[in-house]
Amino acid sequence: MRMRVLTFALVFLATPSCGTGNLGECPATSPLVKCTGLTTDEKIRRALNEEDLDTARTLLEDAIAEEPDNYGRYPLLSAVYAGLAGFKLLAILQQSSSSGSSSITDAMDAFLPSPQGMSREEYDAKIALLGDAITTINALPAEFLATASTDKYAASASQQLGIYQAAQASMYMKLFTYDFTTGSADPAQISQLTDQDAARIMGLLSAAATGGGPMAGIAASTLAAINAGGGTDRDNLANFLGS
Amino acid sequence: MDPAWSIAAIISLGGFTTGGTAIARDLSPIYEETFDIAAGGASLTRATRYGVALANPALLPVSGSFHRWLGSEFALHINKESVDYAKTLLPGSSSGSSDSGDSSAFVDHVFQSPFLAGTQTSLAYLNAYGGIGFFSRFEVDLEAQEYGPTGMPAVILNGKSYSGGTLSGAGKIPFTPFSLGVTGKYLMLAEPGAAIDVADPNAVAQFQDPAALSALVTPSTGTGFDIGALMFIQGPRVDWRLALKVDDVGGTRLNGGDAIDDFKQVTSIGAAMTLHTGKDALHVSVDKRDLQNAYDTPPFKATRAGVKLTLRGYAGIAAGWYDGYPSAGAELDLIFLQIGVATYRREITGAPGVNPRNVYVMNMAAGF
Repeated sequence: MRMRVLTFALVFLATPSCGTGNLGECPATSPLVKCTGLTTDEKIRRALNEEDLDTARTLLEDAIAEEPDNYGRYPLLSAVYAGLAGFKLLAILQQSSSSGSSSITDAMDAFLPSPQGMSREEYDAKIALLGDAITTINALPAEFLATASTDKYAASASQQLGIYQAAQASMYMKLFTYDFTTGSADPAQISQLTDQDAARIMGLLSAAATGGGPMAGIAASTLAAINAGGGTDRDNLANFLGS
Repeated sequence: MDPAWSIAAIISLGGFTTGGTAIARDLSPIYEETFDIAAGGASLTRATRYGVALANPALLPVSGSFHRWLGSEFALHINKESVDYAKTLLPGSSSGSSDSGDSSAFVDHVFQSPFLAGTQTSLAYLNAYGGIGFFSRFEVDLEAQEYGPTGMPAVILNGKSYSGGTLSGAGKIPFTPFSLGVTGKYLMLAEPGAAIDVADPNAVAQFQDPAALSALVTPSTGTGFDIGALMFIQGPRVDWRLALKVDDVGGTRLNGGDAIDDFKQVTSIGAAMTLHTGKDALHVSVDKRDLQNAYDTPPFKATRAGVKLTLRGYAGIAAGWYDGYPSAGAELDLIFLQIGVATYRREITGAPGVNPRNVYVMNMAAGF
């Protein structure tokens, strides 16, 4: 009996040096402690804490599909999409308050994924993820996003919407100043800018400028600089990108 | 205002608001000794120094001597990541000392790793029949999340400020292996907490008024008492112990200050076996806390288990399972000076594996 206790004690003394998991995690690893299953939100939080954005995305998408009226998850999913697109939300918040950038492309450059080393398809996929981020927030009821909304998630949702609109506009603009085949900046790409592209970019900038949030000011000044050309949206934007 | 500076201001002002619920109220005694933590927090059947009064006052009569403890104590808790960060601030480190005093560097650190720090002090006299003690414990946990609760970057602040006094009485029941003990407590508590969306100027602004901040951490006060019972069967080589403890009998109501939750009555049991020679002892113990599930405690937090090995009465090593994670530590008793260290992991929420902290504890006690 004493030997058993001694063995048990020695095992106890040795175990702290090995393993980092919690005894309470499922599936159970110890007969002494029942495992504690995580709720969906706890699983999401763990994935976010571990920066496992793919898992967080899957969990959030499933959770929203199951409970579409749980609006608090929408801004979180939107942020996850943006993170998957390579967008650093924290960095842009720091930049917006300290930067003297006058152009949205300048302001965003440091925080958006660089097209360098990326194929056009990969870059398009990241733009699409930012589009998913925008769509997710736009799926919320208008009253939820209204300025007067008292919901604790509303301010975050509104701010994120403006940021992602500005970011996506910036990424679209990059498409027309960068040659993915040579992997270098190329102003000649501006020639591929269509009226439809211009309308999309101007629409995003306009929404970002009027929606409030940390990028509103810089989106508005960028719009003003583009519109100073006095021509069509396409021509104005082409001039702006070429300058 | 730059969010980084806002966070720095919050930290430097020690400001919080109420309402944070990230830290689950744990079931550890409100004051816990380093060596007991090292042994997994399984302290119902054996506790250290002043920890006896709060772990289980029925332990007081079982030591065999009248005098138990007279002295004071100081302990520092800090999480591993913050120790690593602090090292970078030391002169001669690879990062150099240029970051010293740079709050934005600290904020950068917080956005990479959580920060946990705490202190606890006590002054107590205990003997086999009771004792009196005073304690103070302060702890702050600061975590920045790039994806906060609302999706935007957020700083999660949680604190515990516990202080108070205890008066204990205990005695053996004649001709039985049982002893009983009771500890009355006067408590001053604050449990400030907040989740601050750093992109929300309104949320940040409220932390820039020191007067408002100090009002937010006004402590609540309350009185309550714990009752403990112990069955102690002593043998020439092996001792057996069974403990029953009721914390906060009838609930401890807290008044004033920020309306924090009252302490609920919690019933716990513990069992232990001690192998011993005349000088050395190996104590193996298991506690099961919150039998009535008053706090909806998950099993990994309710189960505490550990081993204490004491050698010649001057040195001890301990290991165990605390909050479902391994813990370990050692203590050296230099007659009038006791020095201890421990390491353990604590789960901040009630969900296993979601938000743990690796904590180091250093302890120094002066007394005998």
